[in-house]
Amino acid sequence: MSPSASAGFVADGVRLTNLDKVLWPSDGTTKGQLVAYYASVARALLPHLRGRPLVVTRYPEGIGRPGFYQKRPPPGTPPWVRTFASEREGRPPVRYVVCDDEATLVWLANLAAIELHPWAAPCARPACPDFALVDLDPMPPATFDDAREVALVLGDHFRRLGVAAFLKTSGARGLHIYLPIEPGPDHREVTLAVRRLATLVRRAWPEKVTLERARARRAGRVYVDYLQNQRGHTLCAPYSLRARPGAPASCPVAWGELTRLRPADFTIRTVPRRLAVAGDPWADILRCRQPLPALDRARLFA
Amino acid sequence: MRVLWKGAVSFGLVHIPIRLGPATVDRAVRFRQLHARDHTPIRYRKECPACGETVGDDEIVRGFEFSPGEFVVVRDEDLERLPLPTRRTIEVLDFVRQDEVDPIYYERPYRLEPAEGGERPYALLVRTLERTGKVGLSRLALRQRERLGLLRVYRGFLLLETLHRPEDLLAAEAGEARAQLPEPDPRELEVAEELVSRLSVPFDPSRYRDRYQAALRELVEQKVSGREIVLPAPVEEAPPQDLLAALRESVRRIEEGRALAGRTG
Repeated sequence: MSPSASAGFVADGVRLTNLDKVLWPSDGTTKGQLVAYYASVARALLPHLRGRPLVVTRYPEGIGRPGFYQKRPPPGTPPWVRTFASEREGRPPVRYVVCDDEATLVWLANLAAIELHPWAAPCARPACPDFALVDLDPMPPATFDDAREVALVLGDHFRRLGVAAFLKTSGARGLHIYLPIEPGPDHREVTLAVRRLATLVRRAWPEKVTLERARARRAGRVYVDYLQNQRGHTLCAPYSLRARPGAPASCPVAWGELTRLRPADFTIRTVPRRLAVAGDPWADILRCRQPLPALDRARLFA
Repeated sequence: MRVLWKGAVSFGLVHIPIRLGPATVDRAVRFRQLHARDHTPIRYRKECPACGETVGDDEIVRGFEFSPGEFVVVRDEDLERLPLPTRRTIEVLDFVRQDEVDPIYYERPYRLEPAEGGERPYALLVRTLERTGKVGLSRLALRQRERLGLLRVYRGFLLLETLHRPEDLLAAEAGEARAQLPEPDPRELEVAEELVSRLSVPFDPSRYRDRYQAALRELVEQKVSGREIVLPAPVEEAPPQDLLAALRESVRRIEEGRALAGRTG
């Protein structure tokens, strides 16, 4: 689809509007390109969204203006869009959009939903995440290179433990590691397991790694955010774009690429071709399941 | 004294520089709210129920609800145009006898101390109020509101008591006469008065302890000394040494690689 496709274009039964609207002002990237991007990565992306409550970040006026988080289906949501009511004790349920198919993905892109943040837990088992998440966020003046070094250490660690771990760029400053787990442990247990892991790495490399929640006290180090494993917290999906200059994507990479990759190379312009040529390094993640205790070195090495 | 603000008391041509601070303190045991699961202190987040977004302070305006669900917006600029008495001045309007002021009007006491250059006029006002038995009714601006205050002497200090406005008193609605009560039996009255006089003592509030607060404090102290302490995440656990050693080896290799790259590149 060319960015010049004008209002009234219909894809998958979704009416597309204002495709020429510039969402990334620094390089003129338009909403048409956003829709085209998500359509072209849908095959790799949709398995990570399907059946999961989704939070999106919308930038109808482009990333130069404030965007907003949206979980509830907005007014005018087509009847065929699946939704999920998240029940919470003592509170009214919150309705989420669930992106099960390409039509919903295109509809979201047309709403200028740049960032896609699915839950780690599926609608069918909202209390049981499918992944333990390790979010490596270098706090300035620390840079991506610092996150890379911590990821290299973690990569060694997972290899030693025989744990399957999947790596992607965050699309911002850092890196995300996903550890697929057999469903069972709740958010708290997963959070605690990742906290143990983070504590261990901090012990091994205190001048590089921090678990401080106070921003001021973690400057210059890589913040290992194990709290992203809590209920209702999310990381952006693999292949989700980010609302940052250059339209970067959170891109799955092979561990072998880590020493050389440059995160700025993965953008709305490059990722579809990379996916078509080199394939998806995360193709197997949803088939891979391992017991959470495998992360818990206390049981392995007691 | 913790100084809340510096300003002046003024009446007629007299101008007394003062510092104002609290005259009372609340020593009740205070609790914080923790997440029951992981004992992290919770925070409040303002959320818009319509869009579900968290709302920042710069995105909030004042609304006056003139009928249910209907608002007018009042902005800072609107308020700046309103007349307020000179800030930080306690302007004495009139002097009245202290026993004319029923304690129901008293709201909160603040202590005044003379600021530089204020000692002599301060002392003069203290002595004058003591000798005349009068108190000064004053106007002041406190927390964006115009308040009525009462200047009085307590142990040689000036106290400023903020006062409720007459229209704020619920105990005597406007125009309401004395409460209508049945006339007691004279003999019962005599016995009751006798009982009161036998129980009469000099006023000494320190004799009356807050037994609930004392028990609460004891409970907390017991929990603290009994190590019944909960810690918010993260709690340090001793990691197994073999894994830690392996990780340190990884770290060493990376740091070494970086040093080599630095030399060659």
